[in-house]
Amino acid sequence: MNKKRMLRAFAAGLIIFAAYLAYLHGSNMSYYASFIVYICLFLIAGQGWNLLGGYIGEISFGHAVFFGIGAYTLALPSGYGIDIPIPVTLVLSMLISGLFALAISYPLLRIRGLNFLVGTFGLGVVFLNVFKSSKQLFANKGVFVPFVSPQVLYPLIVGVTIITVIFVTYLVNSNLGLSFRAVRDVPEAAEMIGINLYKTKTQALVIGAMITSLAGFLYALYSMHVSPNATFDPAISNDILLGSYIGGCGTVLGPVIGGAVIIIIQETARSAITITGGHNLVLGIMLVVVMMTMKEGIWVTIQKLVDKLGKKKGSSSGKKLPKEKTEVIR
Amino acid sequence: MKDTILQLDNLEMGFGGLKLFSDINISVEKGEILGIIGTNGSGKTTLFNIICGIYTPLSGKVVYKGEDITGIAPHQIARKGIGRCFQMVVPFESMTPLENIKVARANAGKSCKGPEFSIEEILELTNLTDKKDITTNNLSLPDKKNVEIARALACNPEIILFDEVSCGLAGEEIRERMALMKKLAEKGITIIVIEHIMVFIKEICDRVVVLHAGSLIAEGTPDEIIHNEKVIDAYLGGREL
Repeated sequence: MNKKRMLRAFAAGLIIFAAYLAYLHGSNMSYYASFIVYICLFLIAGQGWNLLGGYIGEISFGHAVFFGIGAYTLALPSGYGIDIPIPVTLVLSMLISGLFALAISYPLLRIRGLNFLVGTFGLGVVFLNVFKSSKQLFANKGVFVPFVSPQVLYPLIVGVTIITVIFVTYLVNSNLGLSFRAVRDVPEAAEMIGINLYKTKTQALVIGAMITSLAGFLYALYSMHVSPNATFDPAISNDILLGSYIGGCGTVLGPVIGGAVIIIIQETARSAITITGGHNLVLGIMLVVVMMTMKEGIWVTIQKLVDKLGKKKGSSSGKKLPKEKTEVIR
Repeated sequence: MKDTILQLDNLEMGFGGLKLFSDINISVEKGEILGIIGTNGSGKTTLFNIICGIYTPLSGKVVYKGEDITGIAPHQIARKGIGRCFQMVVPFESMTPLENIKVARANAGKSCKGPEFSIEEILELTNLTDKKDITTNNLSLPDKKNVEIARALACNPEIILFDEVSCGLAGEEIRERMALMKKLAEKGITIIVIEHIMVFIKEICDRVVVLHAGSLIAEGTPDEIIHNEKVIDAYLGGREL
């Protein structure tokens, strides 16, 4: 398929899907529209987290910070009565998030592994408490965001989701993406081929932060209200991370599958289990089951299974075995 | 006239209170194959780590093409033209051999000024043409070692440091690597090789240095080294080869 055809197919798919969401929104099935929107948001945030966590191997427990920055960049001006066009705030939210990631990269990316994880977790807690207690930031009551019509909102959410997946697919297969994977596989050997570890990790963090802020921005637009608990809560970092883990870290489709699984399980469990926090219990059990049976996540396990079946089929029919290859779509 | 590419001047190294070696002076000529031999723990790999910038020596300096590179970050040294193959083979296992080559070419390969091989040539030299699209994780040990060599070559280095490249390989596989090293040296790449197999050293090295008990005890051609009494006592177990 050539580029023009792909673009046309992409545009057609986008319009149909967005129209379907708008239809769901207008009908008595708006619940399903919201369901799909949240899957899209987690998918975008998951792609952002995955660049650093999956492709570089540094597990961040604080990506809610970038999610929150994205949401508050849209909400704060409206809270102060300043009218800024949405496209401008969209670019601003990515820029602020990227610049903030660049600033924190200096202390945070000098540490590795568990220390990095604890550092990012601490950052998330600091942001949550600052936004909860600061009156200038509207504290716990949060800020209302102006209404955007579903005819604009749904194509925007679906379009950004698709563009994010396409961009990440392109990025991880580029030379920069290969450098990410080299740093994760063997950092010492990566240095021996001229890769600057700090700079490469910073690039992954900054690009990932910008993508995650997009999810926060779209969340603010969709929910029309932003509060610290809904954006900076470590539970959001947790869900972003779990999506990639359950789906498969270091793959593009992992966070797509993981994001969908998390939202489906959370929402189903929420309506099925009436005790407070019961949905988290189900999610926890789900994580344990996935980690025990599919350590590399659902997507990688499926890929390996398909590969295995292909080999078996080849050998039983007496045909030449397919070329040994377990490469997953990255 | 000698064309020195790498000079190690009065290197001293230790860890904690333990002194590993001192007064190490080695000069490497452009295009030669230099062998480094010595007992386990004599500091051969540490010497490589100092050249690559992983360790900073307690004193002394590393001079590459007239420039003092002591203490420079490893990635900067790699970009200046010093490549390396590790003793414990460490290719990027999640990638294919082709991707291993591409990532090296896109980084150090852009700035190094050593002899340049095309990607196809590198794959052919390292017998990886048919396996270029298989995930490295699924390759055998000799192939993984080849991926490391291919990755080092993709950086267009002027020097390659080989740390016990024959470790874990069988006779024919070792001979293949000996032939490859000779070929690389003919192309103008300087090679420094740490090795325990004396036949390997004797076959391919132009010159050999011997490390023992914290100092450099001998230096010369392979023939001179295997007849050197100090080396026979310290390294060859009292037996002349």
